[in-house]
Amino acid sequence: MNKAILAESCECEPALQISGLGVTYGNQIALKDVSLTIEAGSITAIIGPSGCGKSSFLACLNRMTDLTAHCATTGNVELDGVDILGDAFRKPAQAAALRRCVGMIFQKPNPFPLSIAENIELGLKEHGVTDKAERREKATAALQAVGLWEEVQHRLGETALTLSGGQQQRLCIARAIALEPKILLMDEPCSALDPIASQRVEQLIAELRGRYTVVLVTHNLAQARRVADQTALFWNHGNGGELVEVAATSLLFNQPREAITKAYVGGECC
Amino acid sequence: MNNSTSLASSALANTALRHSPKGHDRWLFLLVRLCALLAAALLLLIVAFVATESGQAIQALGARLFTDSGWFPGADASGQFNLTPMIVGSLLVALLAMAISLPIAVASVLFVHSCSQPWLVIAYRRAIELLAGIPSVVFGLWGLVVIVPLLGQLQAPGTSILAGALVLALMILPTIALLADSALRAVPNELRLGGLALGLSPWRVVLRIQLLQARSGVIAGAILGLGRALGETMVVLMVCGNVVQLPTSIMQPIRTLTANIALEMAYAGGLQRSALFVSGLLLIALVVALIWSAHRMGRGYA
Repeated sequence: MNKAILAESCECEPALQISGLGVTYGNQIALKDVSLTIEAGSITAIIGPSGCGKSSFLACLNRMTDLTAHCATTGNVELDGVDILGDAFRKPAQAAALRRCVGMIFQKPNPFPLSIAENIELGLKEHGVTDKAERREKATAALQAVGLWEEVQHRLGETALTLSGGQQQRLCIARAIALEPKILLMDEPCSALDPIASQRVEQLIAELRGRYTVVLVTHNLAQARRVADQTALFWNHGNGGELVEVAATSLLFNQPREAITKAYVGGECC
Repeated sequence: MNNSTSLASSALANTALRHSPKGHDRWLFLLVRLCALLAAALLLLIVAFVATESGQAIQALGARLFTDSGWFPGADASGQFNLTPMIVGSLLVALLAMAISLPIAVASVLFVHSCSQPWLVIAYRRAIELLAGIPSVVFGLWGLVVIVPLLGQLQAPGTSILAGALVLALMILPTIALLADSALRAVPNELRLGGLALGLSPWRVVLRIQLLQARSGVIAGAILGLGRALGETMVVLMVCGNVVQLPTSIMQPIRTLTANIALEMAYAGGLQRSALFVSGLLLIALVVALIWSAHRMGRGYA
């Protein structure tokens, strides 16, 4: 993949090849030596107890690690053959282009204090969609894709803060997919939502399969089981998080290779 | 099971009763209420006093307070009592000071928030706090010996609306900056990360998201600063020249409502004294009107 092409649109095969990835915060090791392949268009769930480096792993995939003081990474994350942890992507403009391609959804819905339409159109404007009608068209399509259009089509001008938690989270997903990314990173996107809203968002994630490559961090084992093609278990033995086991979801849950995996998915530890 | 639950809950109720000295609560409540009443009553009393004292002039002169041929006051109605130049002077100086100060204050706060050197941030905050603590007479003195001669070189006499606005802008800068700073600091980090994760440039995130989220704090700072600029007496007395006239340029001297009161209160009697109280009443009305319109503006953006 050409780096210049990434800056303009995200023409790339959205498969990730992660090798020897490590993250440190100052002297503290958060994650070490993770190697993992993520297929284009698949959903990968990352599970494991708190503090095992799941979120740090996710933050590496679109360089959100740059925004944390004293955070350093080692190893490679190759997107279609290009190492996105390389120095070329350290420049703000390149990092911004990368983050357009690799969107991120946070645990707590974080709509901007703008109107529902502006929440989506702000990113489009930044990334060069200068025509107002075209922005509105893309925003409409994104809202339809997350199933929010019916609910908000008559109040696009209202502030996004009036939406419910589940609607806000779907708006945040719409905001990301309006930029036509290839990969979506989701950091426990349902854990701050009530069960019904959570189910709605989970259903949406399942619908994204094929169109986007999704990496989903979740504490909800049942959710991983339901939506993920591949699941990876991370564990912190006391000196930084490590990848314990990665396998096709049904294989990992039904025939785990490692003893820790068996105990964790069986609910027998902690 | 039922029995033990009710036992437990009644035991809980007993403890709660023993630990809540109802008599003390009542006294404390009464005291707090009294203090609140006192604070509200003080304001009402001041307004009522100023209004009563201005009554004589308002009754005797009425609209003449705004239409007389000038300000040549006397103890009886034979004088001239036009307050309009002073109202215009006060408003012009305060609004110009705000127009100078607000962008500088907000820009300086934005710089601090995008700056990653912790020592520089701390130094900035200490400096702004110090600036807020400098007495107005010191600002006035500095304005008189530095700003006024400088402006005088451009256009005599130097004492002018611009001189007053420049010194006032400096005085109200810390008020605006401190409030804007704390409002920006209160913006949740998730909003910043959310913006950056969409590939927005850091400046776009600050200007379009963080500043918007902090706007109520910025507006509150602007209101406080404007109130202070309108009410400030010492600085405008020293650098604005105190000439009663309707200005045609910001390089001309003017007299503000506050300076008018301070200059003449010592010897005024009769209608002149009462007219000075009208100045005070107008000043209160101006501040209230400005606060009200600023609130409306703030709501408009919400």
